[in-house]
Amino acid sequence: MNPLTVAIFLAFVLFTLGLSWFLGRRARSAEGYFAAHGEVHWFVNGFAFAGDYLSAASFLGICGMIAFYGYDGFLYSIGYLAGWIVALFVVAEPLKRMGRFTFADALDRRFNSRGIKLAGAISTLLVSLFYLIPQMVGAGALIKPLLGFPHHVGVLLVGVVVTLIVVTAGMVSTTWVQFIKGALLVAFCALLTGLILWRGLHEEPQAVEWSSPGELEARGVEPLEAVPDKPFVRVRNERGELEIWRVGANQDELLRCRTAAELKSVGHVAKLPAGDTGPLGPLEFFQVLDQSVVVRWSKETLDGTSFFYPVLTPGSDVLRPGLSPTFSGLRSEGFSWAKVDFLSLMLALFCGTASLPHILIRYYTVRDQRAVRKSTVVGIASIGTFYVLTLYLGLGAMTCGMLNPADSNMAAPLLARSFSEVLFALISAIAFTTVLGTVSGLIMAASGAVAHDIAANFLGLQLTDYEKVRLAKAAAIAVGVVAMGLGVLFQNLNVSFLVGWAFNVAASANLPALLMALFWKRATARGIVASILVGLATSLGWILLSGDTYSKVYGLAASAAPVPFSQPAIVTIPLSFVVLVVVSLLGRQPVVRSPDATP
Amino acid sequence: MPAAMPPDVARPPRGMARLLFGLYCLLYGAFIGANLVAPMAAGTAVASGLGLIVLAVVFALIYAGWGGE
Repeated sequence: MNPLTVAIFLAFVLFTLGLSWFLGRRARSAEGYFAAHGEVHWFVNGFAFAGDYLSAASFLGICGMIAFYGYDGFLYSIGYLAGWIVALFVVAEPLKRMGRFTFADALDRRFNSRGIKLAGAISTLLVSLFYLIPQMVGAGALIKPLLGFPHHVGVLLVGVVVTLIVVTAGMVSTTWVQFIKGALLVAFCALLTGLILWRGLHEEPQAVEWSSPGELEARGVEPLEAVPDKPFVRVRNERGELEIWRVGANQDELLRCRTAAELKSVGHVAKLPAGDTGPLGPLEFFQVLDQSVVVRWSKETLDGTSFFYPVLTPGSDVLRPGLSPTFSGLRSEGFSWAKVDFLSLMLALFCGTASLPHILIRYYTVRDQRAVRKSTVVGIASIGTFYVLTLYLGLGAMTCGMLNPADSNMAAPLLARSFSEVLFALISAIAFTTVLGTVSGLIMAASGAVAHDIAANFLGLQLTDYEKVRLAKAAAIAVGVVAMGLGVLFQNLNVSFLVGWAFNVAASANLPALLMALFWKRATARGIVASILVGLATSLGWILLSGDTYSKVYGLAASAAPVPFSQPAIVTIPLSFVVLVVVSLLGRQPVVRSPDATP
Repeated sequence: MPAAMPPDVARPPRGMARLLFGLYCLLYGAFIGANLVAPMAAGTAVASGLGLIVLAVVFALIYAGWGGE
């Protein structure tokens, strides 16, 4: 454990907690706790959007995916940002006019329906919990190399700190933590990108150990043993240790495989068009990489032992879609379910942003619609800048020589370590703050759903302002505890993959209901409720029955899954719309306006 | 506009906003469609991906400039 790393990490955590304590007195009323009195400046709110949205999935997950599979991870960046176009042009301003504290407020404004209040709250809770899982997993992934603690300690630490942030000052402290985190994240990612370009690309021909059957026998090792049906051979070396070699494209070529313990730092360029480059321009970086050969490492298991084998990949292959198992179907000819899966994921990312409750409640923290628009534009600019940088960060990590092939989530911090330990400590602390910012927003949304939507509005409890805030704080603690448990349970999954699920559920359950409540005059309360419940049930059910869940969660064969592709949005979003229209048309009710419907 | 709402409650995107939103949807759809037909070459993939992100920022800035109160 590096003392400097610990000091920087503790400084970040203590500063965050101190800020929350300082701001605590501003959030004693429900208006202050849930919406920061609607007095947040639009510029601060814009960067707080970035702090809220750029989660562990964006920073750790996407960078990791690009570092391991190239361009495929960048598809997530494109989809995540595109979703903000829906938020800005369609949802932002009407939502501000119609809501007060929560997502369900805006849905229910026209109807004054207890059903909508409950359905909106359930949806908020489920989507927030789904989104919380990858954040907690990311926290656990960070804490191990940073402080040397096991995964569950990182999860517990985030859970406790975030719960304190939320309980102390609600949306006020959450906003400032997110603002600081968003600004720091974009600034340090820009710095890292500058360093990547300044360092350029370095050729490492020795990154892969080559041999041939003749050479191995000349070393006097035991005779080769071919692994049945797989391109590997086993060799017992001079010291009596077992070595595994992969047979190359040419049968006379053998590439040395390594176990995770032997292979601590990878990520090299085996061949560059004209040797080491020196500093590169932003576009020149891609041009040189396009003509190079990169060494990636893939995992294989033989007789219960996992090891990694090198894969020499042309740069031109790294910079186009379809290298990862998730998107490999894009390179197939004609129709394939993998292509439908890709289409469905991109639809979920596009529609999901404008239906994430923790993002939507941020619209209530500014004064008016003009501030909403301006803060969204600041958010899009800062988030867009970050997503452009992810491509450099991921590719920089792929070629930095410090990558851990067993942990894709650590790619960005390890990239920083390739420059200096101080930068590693700073980036890790910022990544940790990234988790804090997003988790605090999610817990705020969930606590609002419990205290405001369910207790006060659905159950009709006559709560004073003080009691409502106290109930919200109790709910925040409960959600924090549940999130910690889930973070430990799902610790081995890539965080970007997990966030894809949350977007599918949010887009299926919330977006159809929100759009139709805002813009379709014939929508009814029953239609809205049915749409939310059907969207929730079908998207969750589809995910639980998908090949990805079968293989990565249940440990079963993906081919045994009953649904043909893993991302449900392409089916469940239209289904949710259809259900809303049909139920509304079949059961028209007179619209009842709530007493405070006039803004 | 829903009859039960005051005129300014649920303002859908209009004019320039509709144009920008529609145009972005088309570009995003074209990007996905092109990848479904055949995966893009490296240069095209990088240029179109970065272009979509930059265009989102540009469209947002245009909207902010146009959409005064």
